[in-house]
Amino acid sequence: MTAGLGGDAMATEASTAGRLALGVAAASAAAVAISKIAPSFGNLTTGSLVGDSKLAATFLNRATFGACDASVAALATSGTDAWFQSQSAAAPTPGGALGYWSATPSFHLDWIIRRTADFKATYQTALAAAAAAAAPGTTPAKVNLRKVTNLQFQESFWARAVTGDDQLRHRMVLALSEIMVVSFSGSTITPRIGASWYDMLSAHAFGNYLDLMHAVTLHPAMGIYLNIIGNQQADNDPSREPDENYAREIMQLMSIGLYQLNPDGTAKTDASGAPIPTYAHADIADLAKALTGWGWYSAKPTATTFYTQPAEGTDASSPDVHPLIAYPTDHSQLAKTYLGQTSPGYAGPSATTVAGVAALKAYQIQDLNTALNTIFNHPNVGPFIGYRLIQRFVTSNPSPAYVGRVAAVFNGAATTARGDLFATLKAVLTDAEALNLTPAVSPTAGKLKEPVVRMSHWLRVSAAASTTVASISGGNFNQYEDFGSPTALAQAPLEAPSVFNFWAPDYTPQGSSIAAAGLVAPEFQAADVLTVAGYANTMLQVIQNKGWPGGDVVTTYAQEIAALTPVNASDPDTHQTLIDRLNLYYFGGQMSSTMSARLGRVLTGTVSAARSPTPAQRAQVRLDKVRNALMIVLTSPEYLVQG
Amino acid sequence: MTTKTHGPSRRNLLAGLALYGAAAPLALNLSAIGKAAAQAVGPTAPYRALVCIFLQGGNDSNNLLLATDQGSFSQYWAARISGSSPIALMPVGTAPVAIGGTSSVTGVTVKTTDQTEHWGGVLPIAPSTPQLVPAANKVGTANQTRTFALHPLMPATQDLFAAGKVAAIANVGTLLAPLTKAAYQHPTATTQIPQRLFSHADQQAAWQSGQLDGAATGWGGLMADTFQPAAASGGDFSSITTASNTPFPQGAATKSFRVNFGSNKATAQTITLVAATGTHNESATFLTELRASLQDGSSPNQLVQTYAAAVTRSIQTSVVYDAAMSAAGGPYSSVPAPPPFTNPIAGKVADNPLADQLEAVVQTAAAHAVLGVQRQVFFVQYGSFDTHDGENGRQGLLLAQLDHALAYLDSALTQVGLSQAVTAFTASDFNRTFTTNGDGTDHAWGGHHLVIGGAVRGGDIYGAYPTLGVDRAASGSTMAFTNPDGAGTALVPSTSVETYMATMATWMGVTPAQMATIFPNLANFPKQNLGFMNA
Repeated sequence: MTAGLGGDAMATEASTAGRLALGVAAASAAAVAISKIAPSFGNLTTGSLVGDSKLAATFLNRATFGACDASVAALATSGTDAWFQSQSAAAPTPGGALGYWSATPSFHLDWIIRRTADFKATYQTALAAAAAAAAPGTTPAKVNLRKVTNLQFQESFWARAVTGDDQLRHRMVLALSEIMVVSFSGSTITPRIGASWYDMLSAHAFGNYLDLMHAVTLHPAMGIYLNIIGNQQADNDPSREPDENYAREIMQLMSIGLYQLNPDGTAKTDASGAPIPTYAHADIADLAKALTGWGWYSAKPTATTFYTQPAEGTDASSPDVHPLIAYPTDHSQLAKTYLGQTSPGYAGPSATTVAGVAALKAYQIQDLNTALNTIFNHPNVGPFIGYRLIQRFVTSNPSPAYVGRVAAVFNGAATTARGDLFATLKAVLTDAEALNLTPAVSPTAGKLKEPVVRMSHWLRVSAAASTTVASISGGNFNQYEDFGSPTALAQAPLEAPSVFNFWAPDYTPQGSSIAAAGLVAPEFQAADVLTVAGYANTMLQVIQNKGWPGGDVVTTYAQEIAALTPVNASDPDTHQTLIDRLNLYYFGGQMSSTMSARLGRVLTGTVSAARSPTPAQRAQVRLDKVRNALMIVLTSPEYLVQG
Repeated sequence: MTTKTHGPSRRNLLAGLALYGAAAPLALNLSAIGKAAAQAVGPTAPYRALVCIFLQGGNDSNNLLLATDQGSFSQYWAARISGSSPIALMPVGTAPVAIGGTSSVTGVTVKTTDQTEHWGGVLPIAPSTPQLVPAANKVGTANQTRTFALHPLMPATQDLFAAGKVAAIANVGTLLAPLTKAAYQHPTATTQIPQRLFSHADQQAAWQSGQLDGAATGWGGLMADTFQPAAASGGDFSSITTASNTPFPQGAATKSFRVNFGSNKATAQTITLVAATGTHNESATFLTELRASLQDGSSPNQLVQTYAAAVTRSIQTSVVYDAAMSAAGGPYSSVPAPPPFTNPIAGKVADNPLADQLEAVVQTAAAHAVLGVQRQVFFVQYGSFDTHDGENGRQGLLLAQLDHALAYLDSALTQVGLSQAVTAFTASDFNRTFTTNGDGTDHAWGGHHLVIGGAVRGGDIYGAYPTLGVDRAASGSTMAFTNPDGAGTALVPSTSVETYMATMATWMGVTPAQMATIFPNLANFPKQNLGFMNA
């Protein structure tokens, strides 16, 4: 028995053993409180939400990149069952031509390929123009070829978030990308590889978690980020050990975590009340051996292609975006023991023979399958993944019972298949506890909305679109800014600062009542004096400018202005209609009376300087009213906490 | 090597946008805040500050501070010269090999700038206190004095060490009580071993706070609590960070203040309104309501309350900070900009993110009187030092950045007269494995660190530098080898993080009684001050 890190830390751990692993134990009291409040949803049944726009908006603000006119109307017409069916229908099929993920549709990678061609064409046109413009005998003006960067990945990310029909899938990909983290930041992941990673997550977002783990393990992005690529066995080399990076993080961050969990996500404890570790360093070291020998795809694999990143490819199946391949002689042939199971050492013919290489390759693949199966079947995976998905979509502090119900679905309760991600996600979104969350009256319900989701929400409600969408086939945003800076949104897709994402599942803001209650609020890890101001300034700016910097992504606020405009032109502006609209889409009908009254004062206080305004001046005032009201809404703490 | 990274960006989305009306329409009670800061009680002059430079990801300090006597270096060499891209640094005195040349040491033809042969030998340093070569590293039987060196891309640090401004601390790591290799490998019921060794998130937290992942407070913030009992007011600048929320700068009462850096100026982010195309923003009603709405926590929901409080604090503090950083002729303005940094791998002038952060630190320290504080802690971090692969080029660049930034820090502090007042030290998740994994290293434990400043008793190595080498059984003609300090490929620390921190806390004026609260395990260690700081 080893002691904890200091007496005080030890005592704290023992008293909050549940929170240590998941944060669920302390939240149970809150769940009780919620159940006493008259539920607004009741239990979800077939056809639920039909005819109820407010509940439909609340649901969509969790499940999508923001409720908007079309999506609320559709859900309130069809009900949830049909909605889930329509969201799963456009499913890309996992396991395409390349074995682990589908090459088609390759939405994001296609966009990178297209933009690469765009930039090349622009360059060649400019080159020709420069040559034509140069006086005879002089050197033409210098022309630069614009390089594709991760901003081009962001173009397709935002386009799909704001205008895509497959909202649930894209939102699930964002969630998965924060659990299985790779990042452009500080890595050699190229725009092509990052886009391919997002396509891979899209292909598996509604699939099975075991398939997803296979695809993640053999994707070049993870291969680069956590050093799967070129990880060489060291069976007969006492001076080396295989790289343990991925072996450690796949268990700690992506599947089972540090402590043994009960089915409801609370930590199991030993006789002394201490949580029980899931694995020791010896497990990591042997799992690392089981995962050795995977390298870059090459038609003619060599010792060098094993670890050398290929040149930028041109299509969706080039080596740089191809699943990793086995390099059997680089795979460990030793017996491996981890998580309570032992795989035998290699006992086939020598790898110096053709038959030996084939047998060793089969052994290597068997080692991979055994490793991923063993992790996948660990009882922690259901509550571990369930808890994280609830945090991404619904609330920071679910009750153990909620986690337990979602974990049961992951374990196969609804579909008989363990690891069904679509069924698990549906369980997250349709659980009674989710449906009855009432942050307006509950001290602990809800979550801080992710910054990119706040931005996409405003864009969707405002029906923002790209002005260049018509000139670029494929219809993506042509966007030159990203918002990853701490003076902007402090979050951009695939730009987490490390494998630990933008925020940890167990982060709690020091000195807050949340911390005092023993609860967590992950997204607050990215909310500090700098970033809360950065966010406010960013929203004030884009709302005022009717779009993003660069002038491509714009809105006219047509619906908002229409809401303000009276039927009879000589009547006063219809302030309440606009407030009702903002209430529906931004608050799911739960706007506080404080907010509603404030918006009323702001709208009334926004007036024309002209004594008798002309119709044009009145139109300008309406635009100003819309912007002022949106600035109040989008920067208010009430809006920022999602119910 | 890569795409851009997101430290706080030089590019400010709002740069160039005119502010509405008066510079800070949302500022509240500016004069009241300044008054509160000025009245804060705590230590009096002279000003002192402590700067934590966190080498994020786990620095391979086996390649930062090396023992170069024959027996030690042969163990080092054997462990690191193998693999697809050997990470062994060249012996002292080795001449750099140009691209295309062949190394007389390894016989390797140098093709790229990240091959260690290209950098030449490690840079010798001579600690004022001699250390003997430990028995297992001895060549022969006579006592020998150990020799030491720094990474070849750290010439400025070598000079600062010789000038007595830099000290090295050997084999520091997370510990709860003194621990031997034997006790670690064969613990009894009373053996205290830190939890979750080798795990990034947990060991980052342990280095910053003594707690595990999820730690809410850290050493720096807890020190600041003792300096500035008024910190709870929120209008305080005792603890400054350039990073998002990490434990080190958070206290029980003290909340860290995050500054933006780059563009040669430390700045806060003040909520502003965009210049109006019309006149609507000038509506007094709107401004009043926006100010109230931004900070409206009047909800029973704790998340709403917490966010509103964060906005209030941001509005109040950013105005004070920016005023201090924009006053014409203010103390910040005498801080020189970092000199150009040349990336030794790419051979090009490049940004040095650590130097940029230290510039913000020195500017803030210079403005301490304006900000109303006599003691400050700072937290900066950069990386990633998590060099599982490509270690030579990646760590080489990062250590070159450290070298350049430390030289800049020394000269900037000297220029503004704060050399004696500011001490900076390195910290990191953990050291890395002594052995290579082919082209990198994995997570390990005890490692070596640097402390810099005019108040540092520099030019020396504190704590025993460990025996080098990995245990092996006798096999054929190979003799068995046992390293009393190494467990497998990791070093069992001989100095605890708490004593390392406590030595600096003492210099900062934390009293012995307060020390016991901040460092709960300190009493377990016989030597509670390592002696590397002047009184």
